[in-house]
Amino acid sequence: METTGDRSRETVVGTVDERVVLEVEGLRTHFVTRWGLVKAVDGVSFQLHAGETLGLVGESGCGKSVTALSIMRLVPSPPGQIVGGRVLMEGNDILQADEHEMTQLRGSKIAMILQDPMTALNPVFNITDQASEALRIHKGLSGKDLKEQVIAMLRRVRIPAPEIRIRDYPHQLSGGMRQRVVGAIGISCDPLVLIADEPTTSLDATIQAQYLRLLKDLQQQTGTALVFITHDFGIVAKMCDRVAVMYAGRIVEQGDVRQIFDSPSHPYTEALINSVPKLEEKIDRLYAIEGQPPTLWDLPGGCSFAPRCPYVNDRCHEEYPSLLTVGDRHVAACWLREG
Amino acid sequence: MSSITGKLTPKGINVAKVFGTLRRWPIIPVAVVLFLMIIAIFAPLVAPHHPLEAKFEKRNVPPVWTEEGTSEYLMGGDHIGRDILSRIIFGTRISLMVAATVLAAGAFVGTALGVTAGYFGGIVDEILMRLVDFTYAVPFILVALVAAVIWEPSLQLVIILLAIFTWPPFARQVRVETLQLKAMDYVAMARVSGASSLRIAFKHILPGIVPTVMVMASLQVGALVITESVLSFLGVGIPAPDPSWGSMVAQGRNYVATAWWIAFFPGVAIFLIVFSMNFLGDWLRDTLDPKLRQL
Amino acid sequence: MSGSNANLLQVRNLKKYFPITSGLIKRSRAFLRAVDGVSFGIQEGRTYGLVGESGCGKTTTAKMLLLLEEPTGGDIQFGDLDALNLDRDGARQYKSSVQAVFQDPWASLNPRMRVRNIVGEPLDINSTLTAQQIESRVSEVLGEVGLQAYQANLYPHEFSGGQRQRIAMARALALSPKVIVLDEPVSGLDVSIRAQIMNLLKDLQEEHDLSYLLIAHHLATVRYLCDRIGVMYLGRIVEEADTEELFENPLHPYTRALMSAALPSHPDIEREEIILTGEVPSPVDPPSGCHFNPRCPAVFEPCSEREPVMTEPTPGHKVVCHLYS
Repeated sequence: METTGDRSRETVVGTVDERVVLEVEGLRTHFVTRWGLVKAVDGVSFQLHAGETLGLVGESGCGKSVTALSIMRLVPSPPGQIVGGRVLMEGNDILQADEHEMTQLRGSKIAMILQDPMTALNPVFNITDQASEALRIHKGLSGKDLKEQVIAMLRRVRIPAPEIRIRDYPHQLSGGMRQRVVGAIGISCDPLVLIADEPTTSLDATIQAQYLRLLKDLQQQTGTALVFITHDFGIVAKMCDRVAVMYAGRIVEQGDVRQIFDSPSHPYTEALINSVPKLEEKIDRLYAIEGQPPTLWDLPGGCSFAPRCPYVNDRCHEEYPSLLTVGDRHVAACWLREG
Repeated sequence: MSSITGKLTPKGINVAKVFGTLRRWPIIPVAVVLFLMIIAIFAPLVAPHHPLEAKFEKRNVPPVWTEEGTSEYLMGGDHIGRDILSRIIFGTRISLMVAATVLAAGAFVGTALGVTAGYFGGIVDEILMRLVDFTYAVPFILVALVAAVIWEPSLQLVIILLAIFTWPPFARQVRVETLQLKAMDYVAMARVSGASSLRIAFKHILPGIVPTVMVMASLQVGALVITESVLSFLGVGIPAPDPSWGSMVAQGRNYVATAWWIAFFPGVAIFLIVFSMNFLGDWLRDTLDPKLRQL
Repeated sequence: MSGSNANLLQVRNLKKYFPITSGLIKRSRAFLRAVDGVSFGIQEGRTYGLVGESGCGKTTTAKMLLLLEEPTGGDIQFGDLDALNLDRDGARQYKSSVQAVFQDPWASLNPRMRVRNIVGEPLDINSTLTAQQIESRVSEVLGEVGLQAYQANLYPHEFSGGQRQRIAMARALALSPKVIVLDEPVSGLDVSIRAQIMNLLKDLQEEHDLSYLLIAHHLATVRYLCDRIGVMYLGRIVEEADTEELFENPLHPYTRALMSAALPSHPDIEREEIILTGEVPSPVDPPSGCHFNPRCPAVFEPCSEREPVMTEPTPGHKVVCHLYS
């Protein structure tokens, strides 16, 4: 039924553009909670090229969603705050922008799709009202022009009979369709960067397949760079060009998708990939990572993964490993990779 | 979601303080309520005079700090010459006792009926909810007035009337919460294990309802005190000469211009208890909110 | 695994129709056929998986097996007990033998009860053990699921998601059941914890010769845990086979679409892409003929006219599709 093909992945429009559209440098976001200071994002850096899909992978609490919110400057402000780093878009550090400038950027240059289509759409407004919001604000469209654009938008995300659907309310659409409307809103102004935060978690398998296919096609048409936040390595395998694996607020490994799958260089990455059952083969026993996910306000000194790491040694408890190069644009934060 | 300001300077955040206060007791309302409860219990020891003792020469005497005031009647005397302070102290007994009794009865009946309606649903639910609707529709004051004509106004009558009109809100809220709790997986698991309806009601549903009932009760105290005052004001509440705050305000209304203190001080007492209990109830609700609890 | 081939739990033609009411008097106008004639059997010591997307009826089927929903038709046979006609003793016996673990680790434990009481509740209800005996049994099962005896005194919120699922397993084991119904037992857990729990499930099965009914939507999980699988669509089983046979040789177009839609485990894995058109239709008004025909990539003449019957092209491999009749 399936073949292990040899052709290298075709990325958008042939090759990956060398142009960097988003650069995150040393991003730090902290939360003050009743249990202590939570360093939700603790020094995250990556580059995103035009047309590229970067997978931000990790489990709950690793900081991937907060990273996205920090880039969008939507971190709830008490109790959270961005305390360091730069986020560069078209040469400007958007962390320094004032709120007015940010509202201009959000929706037009950088957009976000959220996980839960039930709550991402306002139940009391119809589809047109919501889908047209970005167009109204950023492109100043109105009246007939606006309506035509909205219909075109819905058609683009393959919603059948869009001329009728524009008057519908969210509860009249299925989960898959709602998610497409949310996606349509995201790309309505052709952003440079689209951040998708686990958009398919609540969708059925066949609907998810449709949706991912759609995202890929849209990306090919528009050349938008995509940051795909997920905990599912299957999605990474299907959608991503590059991967950044996060654990306890930091990126522990970053590289090309094939590098990550073929030569995972951080014990967490390796464990994560091996602990997921595979559809394609019969497995006798899964590898299970021991221990519990870290308590973010009480992290151990040294490497945060040390308590659960099968290869741990003394140095791991003393010093947090720096990101060491293990291949061409492939880094891992692990002392094992030194030298 | 609010976004942060453009400034990137890492500030020390004092948000920890904000979180701390949420968990702390609201000191003043608690102090007020405890104070009033102690006064009510020890009324005969605390009050300087007997509440029914009337001294002719002390009629309408103003409070102690005025020219004609006397240190005997600190808050002044009413139109018959009784010490207002003492009457307020004894009135605390009546107000708190009425509130406690009515709430206990109303909460008990309301919870029992609410859980029954919510858990069993169907025709039982329909009947009970129509009963609730009916009670809401009946105009309380009119019923009270009529009742006062048929039976003489008395403490017992006040308590019964108030209780009848207090249980419906409990029943409604408890029913809603029962429906929500009934749908929880752990209730299904109890059924899978063979638990009887009674067991589920007592072990799984009721404990989840208690916090809500507590909050409702504390928020109702204010309304009850005021309603009792209104009843007394209308003459169908606690009969004279017993000192209820409401009847004191009622009696004082004819003297507002000349002897304002007769109505004023009981009014302040009503305000204090209502405000404190409302504050406490709100705090209780916030503290017990499962979303804020560490789950 | 036991050598017996007879089915421990046998389900025959199980149906659940929900009336759709309208108007004040609540007359029923139509029926939502959540489960529409499902038959399967679970052998001792084996795992049977029910796979399908949302709305296919797998959860409702599980609920009927747990006696949480009353079937509209069909029967459930457990040993020599008829699960739908139980007297008090029979009910107690059935409840002690058929237990469950649900999906959401946060909702399946009463937050106001201590673990000791949660795990001990089935014993409290169904057995005649003394409080002390219950306490020691609770310690015993907690140990089996990898928890410590002292943790019996704690409240659920003091545990992580994975640990809460272990507590749920301990509760299910308390009465030494024969069958455990697992409704998406790992979907609500973090990825790195899922493997722990799946391995635990396997170990416990081997230790106690347990039978599992696994409800799941994630095909790879099903492949890892199950011995035999039934694929459900709109209330019916459309294909049924032993696990390896099903994955190597899927017959029904829907099964093939499900497998094609499943995510790959490596970027270089190419799958024949079968993208189904349209949405899952509502169980209230299913299409005529074969329910899958509007979306089926292999649809041909008889599909919208007649419902296909179940055939068995290979021994043990059943399918409901005109392509094979």
